[in-house]
Amino acid sequence: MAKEIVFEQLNEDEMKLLLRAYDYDVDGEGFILSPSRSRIPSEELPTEFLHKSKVALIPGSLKPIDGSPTSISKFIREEVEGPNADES
Amino acid sequence: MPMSPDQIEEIVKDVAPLSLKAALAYLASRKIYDYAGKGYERLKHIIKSKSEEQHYAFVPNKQEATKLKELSRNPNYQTVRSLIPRYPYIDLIRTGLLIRSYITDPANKEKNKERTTQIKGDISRRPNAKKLMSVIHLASTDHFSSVISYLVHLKNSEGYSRSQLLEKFEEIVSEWDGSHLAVHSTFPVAKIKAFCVNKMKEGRRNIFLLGMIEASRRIDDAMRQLEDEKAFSKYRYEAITIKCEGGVEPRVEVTLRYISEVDEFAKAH
Repeated sequence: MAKEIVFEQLNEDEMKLLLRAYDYDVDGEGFILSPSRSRIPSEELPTEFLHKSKVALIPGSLKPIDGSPTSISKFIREEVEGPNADES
Repeated sequence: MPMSPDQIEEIVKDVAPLSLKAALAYLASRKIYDYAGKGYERLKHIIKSKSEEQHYAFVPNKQEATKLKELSRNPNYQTVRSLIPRYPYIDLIRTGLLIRSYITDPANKEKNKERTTQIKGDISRRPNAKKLMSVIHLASTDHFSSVISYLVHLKNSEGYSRSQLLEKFEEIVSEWDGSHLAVHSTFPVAKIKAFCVNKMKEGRRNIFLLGMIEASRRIDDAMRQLEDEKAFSKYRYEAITIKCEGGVEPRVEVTLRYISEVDEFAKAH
């Protein structure tokens, strides 16, 4: 079933607080750190890491993903629109 | 400075009725930046609960993400999703439509141009960038609706299955550059004919023409002349014309399709 999602922006302090609630963090260069304290690779650009300026934080268990239009489109399709019956 | 249990209790009470976004802003305003202090575990728990209960997605650009969400209702996006539900680059189609909305937005031209360049630049650094850029390019042109109309025609009039439609769409994406012409009202009919003949000589599998109002009459004339001159049968093409005569933008969309011997055999049997 389709979910209602509200998009919001966070400033740096708010983002850190939210990430830290889930044991993520941001390092001195602005890269997102996983709970095991390692940088998280971008799915779209595998040689790069997720940066606070280009990250999206997805609700629920707070998954950091690429904040690109394509990645957000994928999130909307899968989580907001719900699966197309013909896709499954 | 560490907070007393009473101060933390007060913050917990203040934060309780707030939305997640407002709660985060409130904690930051109280100079709380982590949950390391004594008693802060309660605040961490509240933030996690709010995050799990409320449906917020935090993005770099709220306005852009909202626009992407609105594109769920775009008829071209919906048609692609329905015709070829397993298309692996469907999310790039939406990105292409976003770029289209930036290109056609009369306000914030400079800002939109900059953002468009940035999006394309990021995609051009991804693996398989050439293919990804072709999808973006197609979905962001005003020809995209012609391609969709053509796919709908193939499904409704020729009974194409989903896998055939997917194959056809992939074919169109891969040959898109140089296979389409936006016909302006000032184009001589001879120019339209020359474009078609050149592309037919090159053996393009699909050639697209799009024209509005006066230009659509020129396309009609060009097609009639090419038919009279037997150019289509000479190069083994057929013309599929879709006219949208009503509305604010009457237009004609023509697809010239190469008929292979296999296609001919399949049609005959």
